[in-house]
Amino acid sequence: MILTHGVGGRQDLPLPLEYVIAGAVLALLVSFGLLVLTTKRAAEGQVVGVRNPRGWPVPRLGRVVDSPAWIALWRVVGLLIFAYFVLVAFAGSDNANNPIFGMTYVWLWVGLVPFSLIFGRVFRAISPARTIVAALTWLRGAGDPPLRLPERLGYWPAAFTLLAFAWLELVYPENNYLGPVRLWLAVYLAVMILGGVLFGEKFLERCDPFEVYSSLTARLSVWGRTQAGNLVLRTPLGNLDTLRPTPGLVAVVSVLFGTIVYDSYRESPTWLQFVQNPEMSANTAYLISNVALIAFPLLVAGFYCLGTMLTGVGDVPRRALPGELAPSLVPIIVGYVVAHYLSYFWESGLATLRNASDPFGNGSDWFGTADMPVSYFFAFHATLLAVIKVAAVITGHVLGVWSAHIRALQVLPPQHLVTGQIPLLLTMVGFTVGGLYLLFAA
Amino acid sequence: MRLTARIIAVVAAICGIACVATACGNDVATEPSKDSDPVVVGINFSGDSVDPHGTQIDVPVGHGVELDVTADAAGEIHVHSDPEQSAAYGVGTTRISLGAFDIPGQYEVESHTLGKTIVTLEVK
Repeated sequence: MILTHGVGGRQDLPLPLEYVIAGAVLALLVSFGLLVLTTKRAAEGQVVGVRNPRGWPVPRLGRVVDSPAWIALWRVVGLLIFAYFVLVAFAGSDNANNPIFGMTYVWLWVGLVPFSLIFGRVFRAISPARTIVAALTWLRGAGDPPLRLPERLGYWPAAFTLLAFAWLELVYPENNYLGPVRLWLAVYLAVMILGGVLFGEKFLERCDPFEVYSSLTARLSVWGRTQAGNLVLRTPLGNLDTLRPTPGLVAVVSVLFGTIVYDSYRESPTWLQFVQNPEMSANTAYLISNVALIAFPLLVAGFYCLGTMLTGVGDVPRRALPGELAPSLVPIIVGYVVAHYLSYFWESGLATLRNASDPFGNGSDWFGTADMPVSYFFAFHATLLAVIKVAAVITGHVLGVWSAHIRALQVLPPQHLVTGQIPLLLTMVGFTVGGLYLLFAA
Repeated sequence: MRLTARIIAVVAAICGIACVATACGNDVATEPSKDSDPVVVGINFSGDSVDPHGTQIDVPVGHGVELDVTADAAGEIHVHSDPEQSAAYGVGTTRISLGAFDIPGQYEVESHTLGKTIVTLEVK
């Protein structure tokens, strides 16, 4: 048998229609329930907000995770993973047995989300770019980096680097060959190291696609930091509320949500039949895919900005509203990622672990997992999977709506509390129902 | 707080209805039929185009799939199953057997030569 390219074979069956309808109705009901509840409380003069926004201090644990030994430990782990990446990128074979594809598209890109949800800012801790930049900075000696990143640039660079990764994963036809993946990762690392040396660690915080994605998801974890940098435990919503409006934040969340939605849509029969029409040349189809990758985030951003700006009534500065409410999209993204990638992460993640144990296909067994069978648990428990999918999307939706309400109540004048929030609510219901529909149609 | 209780009650009721509605309507794991006839998919390559190009084909769990390929040039077909399968065809008619599909899910059958998805097998 000839060895093929790429990761992932089996995809989930579409979500049954009843689940989509039940989910959509639930989203609508919960949204309006929350609206009534929060506005009623606010009208009665009660403070509507998160519990203990400052967080519960955990000084002992804080001392451990901020100790040089702990930081060094995770940097070493990061460098070991990086060394393995380099090994398989240059010495591995150019076929589906090479674990680099699964490590990049499954472990790194999808795995970022669960790990950051549980442990906080994980990519920051293991990022090889950060370690290399820290080493180079140490070699150079004390002093500020030579250049300063303009503050108004905010997260804009990350919106483009995230789009660049999404392009590799979703549009570029040769993304399952070793050469292009290796080149993309090498360019990424070179840019990050160069930027990190020139602009300091701030550059990685704002431009590294994986770090930005991981740190954004970590806002939904229980691990937070005070202004002074001390470790605290917070409720996920309290943690999310500490995300202040930054330029480019709307762009980043729109790119994340838009590209995941495109990922769902591009596999639907409607889209396949459209771009593969015999009358359309391959170049045109490729161009359309490229345009779609950009159009989906733009559409998300457009709907979102419209919905949030309409929320402003009276003297509220409308143009500031999308940025103010942007954190509320983070739980919606995470909910959709869980729904869309859960079984893929499980199956392809395990298959990658199997391949990683025998990276050169010569019968070796480095980690003892070379003969591990891939579990198709979710394929055989389709009802359970469907319930988890709908539950994840609805949980994300509820957290998003709740987070948006808390912010909206702070900026809206009391007499417009209910009417003002309706456009925002409709936008979020639209995103959730749209997401559920894609899980059904694709 | 009575309002919260009411909202929770409504949500619980909806969940209940949804559960009842889905319990009877969802038979995802179809019993593999004793009928061992494979599902045959006719594929026609001509020039840069392939017919079908993105259609969904229903395959009952446990059934085999055979591809009936007619082509004006030799090429290669990939099936994204685990392990991934790959088969070559020549000019004229070629019969490719993909074996039985025992795990429910969607599998793409792709033309490696044209980079197009020919059919998606919906195994359930």
